[in-house]
Amino acid sequence: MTGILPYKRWALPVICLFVFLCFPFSLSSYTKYILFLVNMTAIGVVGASGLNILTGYTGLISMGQAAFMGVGAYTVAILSTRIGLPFWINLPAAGIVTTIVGIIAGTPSLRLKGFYLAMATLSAQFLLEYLFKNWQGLTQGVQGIFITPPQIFGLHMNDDRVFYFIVVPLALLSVIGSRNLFRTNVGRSFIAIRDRDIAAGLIGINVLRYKLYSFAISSFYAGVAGGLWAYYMTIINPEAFQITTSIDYIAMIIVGGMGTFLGPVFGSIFVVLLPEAIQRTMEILQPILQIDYTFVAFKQIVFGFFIVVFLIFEPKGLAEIVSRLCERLRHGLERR
Amino acid sequence: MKKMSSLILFCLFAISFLPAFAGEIPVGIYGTLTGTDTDVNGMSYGPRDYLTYVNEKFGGVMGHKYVPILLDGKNQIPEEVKVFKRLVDVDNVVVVNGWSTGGTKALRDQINTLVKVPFQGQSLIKDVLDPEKYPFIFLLGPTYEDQVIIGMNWAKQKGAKTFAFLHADVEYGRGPVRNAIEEKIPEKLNLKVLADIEYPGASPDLTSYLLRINELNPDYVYIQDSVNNTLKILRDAAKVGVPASKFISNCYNFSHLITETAGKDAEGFKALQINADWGEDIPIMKEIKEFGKTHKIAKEDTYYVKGWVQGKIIHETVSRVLKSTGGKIPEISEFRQRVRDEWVKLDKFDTGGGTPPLSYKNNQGHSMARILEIKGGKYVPISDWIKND
Repeated sequence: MTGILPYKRWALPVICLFVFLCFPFSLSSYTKYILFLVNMTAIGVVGASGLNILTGYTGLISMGQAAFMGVGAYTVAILSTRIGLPFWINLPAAGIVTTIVGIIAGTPSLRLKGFYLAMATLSAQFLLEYLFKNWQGLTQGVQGIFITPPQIFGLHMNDDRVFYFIVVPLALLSVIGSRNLFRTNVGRSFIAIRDRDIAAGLIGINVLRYKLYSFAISSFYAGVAGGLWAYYMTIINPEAFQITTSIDYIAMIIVGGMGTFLGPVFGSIFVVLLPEAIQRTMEILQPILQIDYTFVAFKQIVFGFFIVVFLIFEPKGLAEIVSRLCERLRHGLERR
Repeated sequence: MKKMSSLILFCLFAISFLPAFAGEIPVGIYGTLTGTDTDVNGMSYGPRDYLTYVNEKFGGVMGHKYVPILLDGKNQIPEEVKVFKRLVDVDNVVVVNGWSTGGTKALRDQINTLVKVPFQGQSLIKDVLDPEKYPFIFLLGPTYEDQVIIGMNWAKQKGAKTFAFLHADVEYGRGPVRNAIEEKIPEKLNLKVLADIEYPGASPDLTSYLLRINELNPDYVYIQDSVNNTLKILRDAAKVGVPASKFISNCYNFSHLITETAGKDAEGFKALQINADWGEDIPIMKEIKEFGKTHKIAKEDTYYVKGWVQGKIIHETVSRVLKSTGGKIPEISEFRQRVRDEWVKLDKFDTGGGTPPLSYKNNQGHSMARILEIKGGKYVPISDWIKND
């Protein structure tokens, strides 16, 4: 029978689908909190996928990912509170508005590279942060904007389970979308610009135009991630979109694996879950160590240590490690 | 690969069946353990240590021991939301002792409608004090707005005609000042507000803002911020010739860090006091010192004493509930509701001298403060306990 995969190939996707559908309904007291972590990770995957397109595939450093997410979040907040538009309009609108902002921010940066480009995107970060805090009429400043989460089949969208069934498929779409992008001419042009922008220009790629496309696509992803964050947290406040969050996103793609489509997934899991793992470990060790200040600072130290270790010993990130492990497993199984 | 998938599936379902513990009373506490505002984080260690003291001295309450869970909110709203969710969803805490103004405002709907858990924050902003709308949120002392009024009233009595506000660009700074101005408090007191000066909270240098104060020369300046930024203000004020005696600040500036760090630059600086200081000869200090014989006390300051008082309130309300159930721990939603109901019944509750007696009829323990001034390197009271009516 042609065109039908052998049943063995279906086993893993079916198992994954089963776990995806059943897990939120398990009875453990930990389920809700794990769902919260999964949801935050999924939002991170969307945002990091966008940054990966810009930095990992096009080689353009951006220190402003958090600010672009903020644009998306505020777009959703303003459209839902002032105009009352539904979420299925607000979310794409968040992406589109952020794309426009990204193009405006990206245009002056087109001729810059490396350190200078990083500084230009950093200035966009600070400028947008300033606007979030001080444009009271639009953003309500530091007071923030509260969103009443929309209802889906009578359930609030920010319910952990409901949100899980929205954000996880969107995260999957974002990963598949970025993977497919790099099978197209546009994606290959991005890679060419990253590897040798002068040579890319010589073979006929309009480097400036494609850099702008990269900023636009990355900003769209960031805007959608920000919009999702807004619906989940229901309070939009400038504090959530500061430079430290931008650095978290850069850490996600470095640790996950720049220029790989699964890198944002592994990186997001790492950045969201490692502090949790350290927190839990230190809670167990703290009565033994009996030192409060060490306990609190240890998280930051371990987090920073892992980032440095990855940069030195595994610059291709977790994606490369996982890829090698899977390869060894496959060879091991084949030998049997 | 199939074996790997089956193993993963098994692990995920195994997690589903982890049992919860029984016979313990988890209490959630989060504060700024790292980040800004750590100067006043004794308020988070205090309740944790008091509940530990109760466990060790009295065996808990009716045989059930407290499990105080202290987490780091980093003074960031997203982090506070995350730790709050963990405390109420995973740890099933009976009470939450929270922290920041922004975090408390972000969580107020969850606290009062979705989760319904008694919440005692360190924020004293008026926006969350509403027994009708937010029945589960409790404030220990006078709101920031009450403190502004007390400060301005005192200034008026000293013959002041002009005033200025100085605060950071966060909700903790803007909110109370905005509320005070919207309620026309300066106008009611016949004081002219010359400026409402806002600075970036993380800025290491505030000289330009103090130059503006110097230029405007108000009679008094109210600082709506905490120790770490106040230290910068006093340092930079001394540089530009603005005397510390011009500044009045809220209860989160009654700290020996100011006298020790700013030295003579802090002479004349005034702060409000809403609870006892460390080292006073009062019953609550005897408890703390007893605890200190066998434990390291994280912060020996007035904020730790405040935290200890908050621990006492939690213990009192939980004890009352368990006495009414004959020692049986109710189901968590019922437990939280009953603790909340006992909280509002607290009337003239004696905190061992830590604060004036507390009555929570309107979800606010007390509304009194007195003004202290730094003289000779020490905080000296310069007013009686003032209640804002």
